Amino acid sequence: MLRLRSFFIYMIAMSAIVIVLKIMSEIPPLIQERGVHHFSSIEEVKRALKIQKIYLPSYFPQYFQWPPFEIYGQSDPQEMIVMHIKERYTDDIVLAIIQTDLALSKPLYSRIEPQKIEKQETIQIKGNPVVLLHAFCSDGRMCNKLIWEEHGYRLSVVAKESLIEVVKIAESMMSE
Amino acid sequence: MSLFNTYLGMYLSQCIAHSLITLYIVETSLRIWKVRGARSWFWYRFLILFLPLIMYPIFQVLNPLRGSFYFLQDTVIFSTVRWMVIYLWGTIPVGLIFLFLLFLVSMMTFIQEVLPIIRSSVVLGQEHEGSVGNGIELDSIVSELTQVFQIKKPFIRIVSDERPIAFTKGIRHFTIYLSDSLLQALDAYQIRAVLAHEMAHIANRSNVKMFFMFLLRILMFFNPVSLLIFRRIIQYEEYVCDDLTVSVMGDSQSLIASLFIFLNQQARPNIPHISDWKESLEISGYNLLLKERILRLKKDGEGKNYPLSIVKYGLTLITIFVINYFVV
Repeated sequence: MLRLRSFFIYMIAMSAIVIVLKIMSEIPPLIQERGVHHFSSIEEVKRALKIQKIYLPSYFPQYFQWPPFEIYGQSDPQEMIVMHIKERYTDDIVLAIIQTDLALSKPLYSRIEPQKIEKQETIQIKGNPVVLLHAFCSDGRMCNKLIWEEHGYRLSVVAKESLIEVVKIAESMMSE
Repeated sequence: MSLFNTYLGMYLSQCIAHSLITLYIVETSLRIWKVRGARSWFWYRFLILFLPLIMYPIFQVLNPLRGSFYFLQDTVIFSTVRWMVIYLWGTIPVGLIFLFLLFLVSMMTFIQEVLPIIRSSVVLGQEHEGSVGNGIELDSIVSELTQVFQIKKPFIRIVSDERPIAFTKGIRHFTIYLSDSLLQALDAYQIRAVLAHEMAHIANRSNVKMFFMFLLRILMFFNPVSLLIFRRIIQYEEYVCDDLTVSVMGDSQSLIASLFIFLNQQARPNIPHISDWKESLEISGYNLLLKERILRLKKDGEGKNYPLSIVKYGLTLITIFVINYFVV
């Protein structure tokens, strides 16, 4: 009985430190604008981050569910927005859009990053040189990625779609 | 503060975080489990000194994506990076203050641990091999205690020195050094207690353990928790050997009497050119440790052996690893 009581008190004490750590981890985003924040909508991102331009697709396949289910962003120290979109009738993530400041030191990857790259080539879309990766994701689905730079940002689009569809999505994001 | 996105920066910040959390877990465990005995205290607090050194590399091998953006957002219970990018009063990053604190701790380590070694070694008076001290046959005492502790018989060296000296040198072959002034001050029973204590160090492999602890201390030169814990661990090793001595002697009185001889020793000429205030601090610190040992022996002088509970120790160890894995 005494051992059980000690064990129970031990579990409470360890749970307490976990709770305290979790609370402490949530404090920085609440007290300042610096660093990564989680947003529930694009409008909230626009209001909070005051980033000069947020690149959004005007075209994507109908079974993609808009708005993104997940948006992370920061404006300080460097600008960064990453958003993920799910398939309409399943919970699969099918599209990732990442916009980062060229000064961002560490590359930012999506949740559906290509695992097996079949071919890499550079193509031109609207006069922009774009790196195109023909690839597959870890679940075996086609998972193509486009990367390009525009107006001081590095943009990447990863979609579990055909190359033609991925190019159309990226093209709809680019400035004329 | 992009340093904290590099492996070095992550190691530094996580090492300190892991140390503090391990300190909490160990201290809480000691209280809840009511852990008794210096040997158990030693091994519990060893975790605080050792684990933070290796946890980050182990975690990274287990999961290279542990420092990734999504792990930080989805899985961690505490992110050090989030705190490092806070700017106090809009100008001073917490990360910079953190680095400054590490620098201060590093300087303290250098002054406290490294500088004394660089500047001098122990300067003893003339020494000779001795079998008799103060008319007492040391060899017979040593032979008897060798049987009790079941160790290889150490050499005895008597040094001509006005300071009370008793220490053991060696890792495989041991030599016990005793000063003639100490032998003059003690009776036969007390000399036996001193020799028993030194041979307890040999039986307990104290020199090897202390060398390893010192190595850990130096490797964690920047860690303030190591600064606090290191001296306590050294002290527990003395307690363990005090307990062994009391169990051999049958009582604590002779050991207590011999410790009083070491108390309030004045000059420490083995560190030349040292400022008076530092010397006073060192002597005060040394005397404080001696007083703690004496008080402990007076309070619980039976030399009881409290075995380490492997189940509780294992549970503490697992808790440390599991919680710290999610502290990035």
